[in-house]
Amino acid sequence: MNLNYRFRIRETLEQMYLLGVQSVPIVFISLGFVGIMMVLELAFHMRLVLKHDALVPAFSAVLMVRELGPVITCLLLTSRIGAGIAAEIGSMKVTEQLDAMKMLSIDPIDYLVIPRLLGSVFAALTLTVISIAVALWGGAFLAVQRLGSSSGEYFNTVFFFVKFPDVIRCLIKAVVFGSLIPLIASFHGFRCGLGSAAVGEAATQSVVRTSLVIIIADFILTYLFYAI
Amino acid sequence: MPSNAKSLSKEFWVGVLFLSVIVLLGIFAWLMGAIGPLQSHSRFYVLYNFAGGIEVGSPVRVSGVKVGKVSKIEFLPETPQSQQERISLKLTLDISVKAVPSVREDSRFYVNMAGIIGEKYIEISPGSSSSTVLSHGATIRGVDPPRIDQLLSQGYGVFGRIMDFMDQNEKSLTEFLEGMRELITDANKLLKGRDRDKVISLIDNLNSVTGDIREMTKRMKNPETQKFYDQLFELVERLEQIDKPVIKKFLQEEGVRARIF
Repeated sequence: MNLNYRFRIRETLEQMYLLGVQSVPIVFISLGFVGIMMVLELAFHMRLVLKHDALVPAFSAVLMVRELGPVITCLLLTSRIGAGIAAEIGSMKVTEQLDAMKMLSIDPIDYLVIPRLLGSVFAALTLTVISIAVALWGGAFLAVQRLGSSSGEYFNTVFFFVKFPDVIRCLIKAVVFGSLIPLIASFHGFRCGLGSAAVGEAATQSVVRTSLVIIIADFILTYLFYAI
Repeated sequence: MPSNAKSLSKEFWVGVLFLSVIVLLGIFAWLMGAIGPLQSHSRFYVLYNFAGGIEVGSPVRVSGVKVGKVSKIEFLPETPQSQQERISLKLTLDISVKAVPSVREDSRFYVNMAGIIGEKYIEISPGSSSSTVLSHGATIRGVDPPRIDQLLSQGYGVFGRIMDFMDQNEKSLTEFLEGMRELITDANKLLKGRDRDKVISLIDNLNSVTGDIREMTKRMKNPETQKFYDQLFELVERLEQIDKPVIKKFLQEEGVRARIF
């Protein structure tokens, strides 16, 4: 029984593991600190301007769910996996492995890009949800320790302002960003020139352009979701 | 075999990650009120003419405790029935069955505001025990909140008219205020000047008179006085019934034409 025939499940699971599971620690640590930093910074500014910090949980959670959760997670994924995909495909091109695949009637898009695309979408979706949970937990920890708020009070305020449609929109963003990362990285990998310098250049260009495209896509999606 | 074990391990961790995220999403949905699989709700429809900022998802509270949410807002077409009292909105409320015994026919559905930024919610006042509990699917007329924008607009109009009136009657108003000022000045002089003793004496006399009246009314409420009044009333009644013709005849014989009774 050939499991790799249609959807290449084995490669897809491999990429899900590499891109998703192995990225959990970096996302966990980064977003935990982002959540803490955001509550700290918002509390400072709200005390300065409004003389009150009751709405810090609400603002930080709304910002995290609507914007920072998917964007920071996918930027981290870009730096971690985008460069890797571009370099991997680029070096395969330099060493003529792509040509060898074509000679063996293996479509490089089917074999290399689709599993990475599915793995990246899976990673972006799962890590975004985890990042939101970790950031909210980090914010609650700081609110309890430093702002004199109880965890119940914190989450009551958070879930009064953050609605489930916001989470759905956040997941849509994650899917879009997660799709962009392997597509742009693969594009740069396939267009890589000859030589090891070209591979490095492809990896760098991939990360820079993916980051830029993610931020522009975030603006467009936010505009479509909330401004229209 | 080691390769298969490693692959299985990867699949296992991918599955763990996937399931963790599904569980997290379920928790988010539950906390945000999108799902409530273990909680049954009762549904009511509340009619308003003006909802004052209520949105789908706004909380519903009974005695200040959150028990549900606004699940739907509909705009009603104008019907002959609604022409008498304009009703333009129909809100669907989903309320926990635990709170339903407090929601009765005489319960009132207010649009309230809470928190420092004024988030809106529907407050249901618990009904009296004599009224019946509202059944599932009942339609109730809510209490429209005051329209601040209209109040401001009307207040602006009222202040405008007051300003016009003052502009048109500036002379009369000046004279009136001048007269009031003179009156107050005279009263002040009266109280401070040589007639001060007379005023004090007058107030003392008034005080004494009211004291006497109070004493008199107090005595009139005495049981003995009450008894006297009753006897006097009885006497007059008997005189009227028994002696009326005799007295009348006597008065007529004496040439008196006055009508006494």
